[in-house]
Amino acid sequence: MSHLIECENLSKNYGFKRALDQVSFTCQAGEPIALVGPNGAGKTTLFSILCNYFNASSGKVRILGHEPGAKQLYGQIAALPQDALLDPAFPILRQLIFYAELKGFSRPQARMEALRVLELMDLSASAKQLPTELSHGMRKRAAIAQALLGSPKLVLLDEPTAGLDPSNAKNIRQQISKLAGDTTFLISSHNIQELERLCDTVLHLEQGQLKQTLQHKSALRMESEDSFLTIHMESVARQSFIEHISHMSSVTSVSGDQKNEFVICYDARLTPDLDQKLLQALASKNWHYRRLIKGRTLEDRLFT
Amino acid sequence: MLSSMKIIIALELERTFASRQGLIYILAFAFFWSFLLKYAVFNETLMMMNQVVGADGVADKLFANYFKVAMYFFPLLCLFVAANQTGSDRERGTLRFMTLYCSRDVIFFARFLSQALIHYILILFSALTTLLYGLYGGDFSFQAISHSLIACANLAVIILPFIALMAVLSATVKSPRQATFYAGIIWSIASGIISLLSHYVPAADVLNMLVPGMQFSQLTSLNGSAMFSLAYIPLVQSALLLMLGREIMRRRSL
Repeated sequence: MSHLIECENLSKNYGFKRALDQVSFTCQAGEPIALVGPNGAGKTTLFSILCNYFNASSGKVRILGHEPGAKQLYGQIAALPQDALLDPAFPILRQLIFYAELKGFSRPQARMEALRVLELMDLSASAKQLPTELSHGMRKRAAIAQALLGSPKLVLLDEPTAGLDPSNAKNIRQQISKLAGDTTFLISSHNIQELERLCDTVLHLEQGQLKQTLQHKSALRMESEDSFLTIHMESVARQSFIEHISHMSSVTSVSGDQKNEFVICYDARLTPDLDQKLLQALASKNWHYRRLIKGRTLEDRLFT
Repeated sequence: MLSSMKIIIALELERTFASRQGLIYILAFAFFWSFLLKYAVFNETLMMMNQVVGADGVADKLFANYFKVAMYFFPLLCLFVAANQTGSDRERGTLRFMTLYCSRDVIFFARFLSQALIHYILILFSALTTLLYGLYGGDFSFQAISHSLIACANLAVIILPFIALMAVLSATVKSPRQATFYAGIIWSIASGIISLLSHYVPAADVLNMLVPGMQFSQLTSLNGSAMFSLAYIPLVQSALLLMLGREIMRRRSL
């Protein structure tokens, strides 16, 4: 069976600057895939090569067994390109009908499909408005609606929730979760918590190189056998908390880089139920917690 | 492929004939054309009729004048109306959406054909209004219709390399204004250099074949279907320009 995405020694140079450097990975269809990395890491470059916006300088890419831009991929891949705008001359409904028709829908079907995706993005009331009459967030949602037309096999979303209000960002996460499975999403974002909730596979790019590939959710299950608890406390004296928890049996270290969030490392073979003991310890000190996670957060796993 | 082209062409026709901005362009065209028709075509024809006693009918003169004016007017119109085939969409990022649904070739050729169709509609409108003016002047005959059809068919071929040139420039530069500006520069510089070269090296005169509109002076001395004898020039020029534009479109980053 061919992979959904297959990249082999992919490199891209802009003049003397190397934006992607020998990147190799494969992805299977299914759970959403996260693409993380700092600004300038090469995320958008990778997206652009996958979408055939430009060619790689060297290396190979295959999507569903075909080269980017192959006619077999038209309608199979959809994308929310970074900073791309819809045509300002036509209302968003008309443009979505146009794209749906290009995808093979008849005019009446295309209209229904366009209305469906607008409804998904909570934009039905703005269907007849021009993109220039919409706010930045609404324009972005219209562009995401475009990516959801039909049932593409792969949807590439570059910063899908950046600039959106929390309610609409949540709606987009819900739609992605709902559609995941039939459609595979590749999501680039700086919002690690969002990616943690949505994605299993995480591709971590840095300075154009693929630093690591994580199977985050499955790794969490494996990791919980041996090792970490992450706890987010309500206000607590940092030093006092660390000292107290460090003295619990089987705890090897307690670290707290962020305010009121602590990562507890312990030997799970000695105390498999440390989480319950920890809660008892908190109760005895009358300390209140907000959130307890078995394992480390994606942020800690990636950047610690 | 053909159905995708049809869908893109339909949207482009809608942009020109059914959108607010498109209608403003059409109104501006209609206003400008009515001005040309009255003063450069009809009045000129009346003057000729008064000067030459016993000359051919009004239709002959009217459409000879119509063709002389339209032969320069429509290519000039192309430089403005056809200047935005892919440039703005590329700069705005709209092409990034479109290329996920169809190939760059389809987009390039569909936009070219859209512009050709839009200009054909405008040419038909201009010929029809000329015919009506002729009718108003008291000369309406099958000969007039035949003259108008020949003029339209010639104009349809003449404007193709100009639209193709704008397709190439639109695939190259960032804005329609730049495309129009470069078209003017390329056209005048190319003509100037070739004239200069052919002054010293007569064989270089053959390079004129590459300049859109180079056959205009010869066309004015031909009549009726004899004008089609030069149709190969704009057709070859269009084919060459479209090949170049397609290659640029394929290679450009979006």
